[in-house]
Amino acid sequence: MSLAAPLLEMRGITKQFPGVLANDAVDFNLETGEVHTLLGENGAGKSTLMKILYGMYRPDAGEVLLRGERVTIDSPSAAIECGIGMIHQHFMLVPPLTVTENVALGLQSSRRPLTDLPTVANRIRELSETYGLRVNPDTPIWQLAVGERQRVEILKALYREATVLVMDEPTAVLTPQEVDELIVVLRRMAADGRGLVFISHKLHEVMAVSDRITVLRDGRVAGETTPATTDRSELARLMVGRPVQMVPDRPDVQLGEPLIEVGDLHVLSDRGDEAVAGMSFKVRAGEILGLAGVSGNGQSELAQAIAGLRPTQEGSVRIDGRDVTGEHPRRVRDAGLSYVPEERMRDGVIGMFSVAENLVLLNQGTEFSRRGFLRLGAIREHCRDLVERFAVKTPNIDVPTSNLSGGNIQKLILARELSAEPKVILAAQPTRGVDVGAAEYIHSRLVAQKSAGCAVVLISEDLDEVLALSDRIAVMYEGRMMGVLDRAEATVERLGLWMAGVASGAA
Amino acid sequence: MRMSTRRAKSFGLLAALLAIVLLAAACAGDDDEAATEAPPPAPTPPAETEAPAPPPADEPPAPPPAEAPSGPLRVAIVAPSASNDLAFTQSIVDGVAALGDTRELEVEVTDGTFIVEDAAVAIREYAEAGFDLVIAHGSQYGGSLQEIAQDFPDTSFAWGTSTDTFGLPNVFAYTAASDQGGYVLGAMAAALTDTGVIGVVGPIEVGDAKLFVDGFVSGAGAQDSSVDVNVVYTESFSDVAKAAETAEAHVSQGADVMTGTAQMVVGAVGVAQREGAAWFATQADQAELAPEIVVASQVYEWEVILSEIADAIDRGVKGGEAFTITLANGGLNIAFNDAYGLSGDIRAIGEATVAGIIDGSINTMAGPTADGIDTPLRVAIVAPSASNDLAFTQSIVDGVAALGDTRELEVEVTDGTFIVEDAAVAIREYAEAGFDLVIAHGSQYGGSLQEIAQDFPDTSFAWGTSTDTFGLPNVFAYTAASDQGGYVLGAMAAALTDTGVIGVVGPIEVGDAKLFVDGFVSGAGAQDSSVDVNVVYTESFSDVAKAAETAEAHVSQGADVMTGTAQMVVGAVGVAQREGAAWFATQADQAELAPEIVVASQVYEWEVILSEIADAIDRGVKGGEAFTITLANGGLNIAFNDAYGLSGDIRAIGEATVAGIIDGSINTGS
Amino acid sequence: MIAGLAIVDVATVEVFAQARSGWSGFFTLATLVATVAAAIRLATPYLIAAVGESVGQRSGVLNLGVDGVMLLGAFGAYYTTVETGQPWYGLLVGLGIGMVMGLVYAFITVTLHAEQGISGIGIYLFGLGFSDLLFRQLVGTPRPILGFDGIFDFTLPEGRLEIEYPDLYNHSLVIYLAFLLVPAVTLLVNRTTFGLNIRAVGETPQAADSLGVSVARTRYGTILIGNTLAGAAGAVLALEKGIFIQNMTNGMGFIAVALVYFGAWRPLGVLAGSLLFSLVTAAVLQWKTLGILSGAAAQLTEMAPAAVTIIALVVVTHRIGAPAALTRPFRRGAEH
Repeated sequence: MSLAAPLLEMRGITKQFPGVLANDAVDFNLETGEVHTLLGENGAGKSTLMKILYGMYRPDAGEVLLRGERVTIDSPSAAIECGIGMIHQHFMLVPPLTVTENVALGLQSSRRPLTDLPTVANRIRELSETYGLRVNPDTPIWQLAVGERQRVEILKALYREATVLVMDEPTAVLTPQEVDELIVVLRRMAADGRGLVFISHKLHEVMAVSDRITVLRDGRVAGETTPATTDRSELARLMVGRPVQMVPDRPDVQLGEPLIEVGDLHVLSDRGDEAVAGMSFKVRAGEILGLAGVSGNGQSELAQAIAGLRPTQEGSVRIDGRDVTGEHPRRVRDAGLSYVPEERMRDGVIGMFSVAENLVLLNQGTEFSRRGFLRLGAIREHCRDLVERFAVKTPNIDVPTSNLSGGNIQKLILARELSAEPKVILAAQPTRGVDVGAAEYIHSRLVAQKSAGCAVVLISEDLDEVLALSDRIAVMYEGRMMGVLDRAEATVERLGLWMAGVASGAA
Repeated sequence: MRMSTRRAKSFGLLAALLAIVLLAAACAGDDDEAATEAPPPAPTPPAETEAPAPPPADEPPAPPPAEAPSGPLRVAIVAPSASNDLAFTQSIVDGVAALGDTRELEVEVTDGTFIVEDAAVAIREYAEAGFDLVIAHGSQYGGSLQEIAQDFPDTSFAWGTSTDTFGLPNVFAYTAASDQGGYVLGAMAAALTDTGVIGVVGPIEVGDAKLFVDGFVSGAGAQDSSVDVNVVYTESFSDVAKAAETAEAHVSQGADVMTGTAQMVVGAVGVAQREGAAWFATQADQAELAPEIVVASQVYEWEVILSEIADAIDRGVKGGEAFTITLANGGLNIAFNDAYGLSGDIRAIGEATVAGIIDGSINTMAGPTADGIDTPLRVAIVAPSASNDLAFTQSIVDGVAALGDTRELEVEVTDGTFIVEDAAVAIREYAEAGFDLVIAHGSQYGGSLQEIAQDFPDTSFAWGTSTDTFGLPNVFAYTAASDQGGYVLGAMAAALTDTGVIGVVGPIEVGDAKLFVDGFVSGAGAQDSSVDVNVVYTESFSDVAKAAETAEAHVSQGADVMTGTAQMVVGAVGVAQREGAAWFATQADQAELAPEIVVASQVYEWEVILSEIADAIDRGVKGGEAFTITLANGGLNIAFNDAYGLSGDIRAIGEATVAGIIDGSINTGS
Repeated sequence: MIAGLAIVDVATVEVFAQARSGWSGFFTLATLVATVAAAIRLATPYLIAAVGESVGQRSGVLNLGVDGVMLLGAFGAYYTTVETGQPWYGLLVGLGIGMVMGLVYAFITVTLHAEQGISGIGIYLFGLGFSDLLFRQLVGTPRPILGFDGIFDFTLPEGRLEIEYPDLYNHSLVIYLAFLLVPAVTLLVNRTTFGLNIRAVGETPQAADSLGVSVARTRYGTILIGNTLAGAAGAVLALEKGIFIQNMTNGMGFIAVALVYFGAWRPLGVLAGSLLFSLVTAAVLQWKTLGILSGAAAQLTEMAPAAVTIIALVVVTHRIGAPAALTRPFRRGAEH
């Protein structure tokens, strides 16, 4: 076994993008039957390496060997022919088509030029049976839940008899129980003679699923290890290049008056169904309330409704005692709310604007303008100060914001929002897609705000994050509150059941 | 008197923007249908749309109280070249300055606005700034001025060189009878030349320049008919190099005396100076340019008429009058250059000619008319469909060709311009190229033509089919009394039908098509009132499929005889052919399209009125008249198709109807 | 050719004479049959062009140049038939011209990733101008040609009931072929692997690409189909009417694009839209013929087909959305 060539070997892969060396002589190999995790922050080069493997990019240097044979992979179809399958972080599914049609897409049909969907559907049923991937082959994708869609992605790869399967952040959208199920499936697939590449930045999952772990940093291999010989803080250190405080201190703060009170709130989604169906909660000064839940359970609509960006059907929102239900976003802000939106590129910043312009978006009506003209000098001074204080990594304050990394954009938004000296902070998915270093920083800022007497509502799908920061934890499922627990009583199991919609006695 | 000058600058950007907008509009396209229903939106003819123009009749006899007489008269000048160009622009600036000697003036000048849009902005700004008199010194500014003047009824405008006040009560027109000075200088030049060859350097054959050159040629011919006068138009007002090369060419052909006009002529003066050729100047005294060769200059003294205009304004009259500077009223002067050693004899000839023109014994245009007949009439046609469409477009092309049998013509045709903006470009280009007569053959071209015609007052335009000359002195209108032929064909159709049902396929209910259809229905009814005539307008000139289906619908309702008009009708002819229905045609003889079904065609013979238009142009009349072809004047003909076995009876009905319409016993309108 | 005239025998004339006034004239079997027959003929070019365009749009490519391609196809077919006397050659040339224009459009929009709306308008303006130029240079006089008329007429066996109203079925073969396009394209899109690729590429090109389906090749294919059918639509128009004049489509190509939306990107829907539009057009023509409509009312009803179509369009598009990637060029790696 040890003498045989590895299933997959990537040698000296180098890929240069304008201004960025995305992969710098990266070596990576995968054995049959193993789950090999590729760990790294955003921009460390994981996705580039895997896109090269899947034929979506061509490497500038380096070679790919399959079972010791050198192969040239210049397109996804070449990759598929080599037995490489990939499950993208953003699912590659066609929503109006059925599961069967999505699986059959790009395959040779036995009845060319006609399709042969019944044959495909039968094979799908067999595969679902074998691996416990329950899904109805005749359902259109748009009717499926996120977890089911992921099963379809896996089925696509299995159908193509992939021996090398790359999974890019597959757990990001799953409940803890679904993650556990997925790990079982992954192990079974590996046991059937495949090699799996698992990309993630959630350290506890990495520890649970991996046989081997390769850490990338700044396009280079920072280290290779196994779960048995490492721990989470060591992995974080490899990723970031310095020691990282995994769990921020949670100082005890004297709780004050309730600063935000949401009562029986009902909100419609874009499609017109009830996305928030009667949410009520209070958060007091010096307290962090974590709202956990799988995405798509009304969190986005709830946040938008509170911030005044979406009309409410029923119920009330009070900020610092003031009723701001259905008010213009400007007035909600005036009442003391700062909002860190989930879709930061859409709702948080204007990509084409410079860093400076985005930093003063809120204030341009006040201290930074005189008679309708911007006071450019004052703006620059203010912005340099914020960029420095919030450690936003940017060449200067005049570059377009869209050039910054996700983490830095998030820091920029945080800088802008916190500089308004809010009473309530509503942070929706503040660290999604943000690297560990930036996430650590953002966490520390949120805790600092709590200490300063703010009420913080933290909406997150990342259970670790919620558990690490919150004083109380609530779970949203289908627009309702499944329950609230104090941090001390909260366990992953209990929250996970709530996230899956299973009510339990305790509340 | 204060005088300030400012240059046109940022207006260029504006002009570029306008060009882009127009281009976009042109690209947007337009089919015949839309064009006929509504004139092109952007440049609407101002006369109809701009409300604030007061009717010219109720001109107030006295000006509003406490206004003009107190302060100085505020005068603004907008002119195309530099104020010190020793030519056209300087003449007006000097004229206003001279007027300032006799009365108190406040003057502002914007010169260098050779781009019309820039000038329009300046004119409007001056009017807004409350100037009493705004002088638009350039015939090219006419179109813009007409619009602006209507927006400022309390401001006086003067437009030169032109004789047209647009019928507006606040526009003066002024021009120079520069043919007079030209005639005097021509006579002197013919007396002066040793080689017997004189060279003339002209810009574009329009307006003031054409007048001067024609007068010059005429004067030279009257003095000595053996002298050769070589006239070359460079087709540019600004191409100095070409002017110089033209002068060189004249010298190489032996010219020892030359003249020329417009700004670019300085290039020719330089050549004359080097070659030692004598030079006659016009517009301003150019002696200082080249003292040793300039013999004499015709000088414009606009102050003569400017003082008349100022007096009129004092009286409360804001416009509506046209002025001309002449030798007689002292507005034109012949300035002899003392530095040039001119013999007394020749100077005497010049002075005698001046006297002769003033007392009327000399007609400056007598000479060149004989010359003019030798040169062919240059005619351009712009028409919507193909020249050989066997219909509307072919009728005019054939008509012009027929006119060519009786007189010498030079003809150019742009066909297929069913997009109105394309046609406008073609019309303008022909006018710029100096054609004598530009025919815009399509009622949809009216809006564009009205604008273009004002920019080229020396070019004749003909517009059909229409009866409207827009009140412009250089637009002829022509149309066909197609109801007459329609009536004849309708009578025959009613006699021919077995089923008692006749189908008519029309395009849009306007103009020529409506006239024909109405006449047809009327004629059929007069012949046999029991016959049903079903009229359907397809609302399109180009939708062949719809025309075909209309014919099918007629057949389904029992029609066995049909007619129709406009291009799309070919679709209906095909149906008629297949169904064996008889067909009556109009505009051109369509017998060859479908010999077995076409009974008779009403044919347009435009040459009848085209020869009248050409004669008018010979007489110096450039427009303002409307012509109609009729059965009586031979412009309309009924062509029977011999291949169709028409019974003698029905043919007799047709011929009798024609006779009745001609002798007036039948009224087609009934 | 005399068949049509045969209808007009003495007996029928009397029927016409008493029936042909106002609405009662319209609601006679003969007139209704004539209206439906006219609608079928009018619908044909729309149907061919719109079914073709629906294939392109299903793959995410909008082509506003349909009208220009139709004009070129119409001229090519007309001119070929004038020169050779063979309408089938004309039809082939029309198809060929459509194919060439399809290659041009595919190159511009797929290979060069150009903005589809502007490119389509460019194609339209080119077709409009170039067909007119060629017509004036090569032909000029719009002489009728025999076209398909009378050659491929389809007749039912004698003795059948429908024989009384031959207009209903007595169409040339190409009209039948045009209607056969509806099941053919439905089959292509829904039942073939190429059709599966088309639908995937029109919705989520990244997904198709990740499974090895060439987005570019698929779109080249659909654009070629769409433009070839546009050329065919123009050819059928010219050959059915036996004539060509400048701008003879009169905007049919744009209506065809609208009909694709109307038909919710399904050939059957496109067929319904084409027939509805043409039926209203034909009915309005009959109403005018019967004198039910005149003057301003007649001009207003010219808008009726468009109005009915737009109303139906609004109702329909509320239910079914367009292909998600419509008008969006695809570049690998630039998906989000």
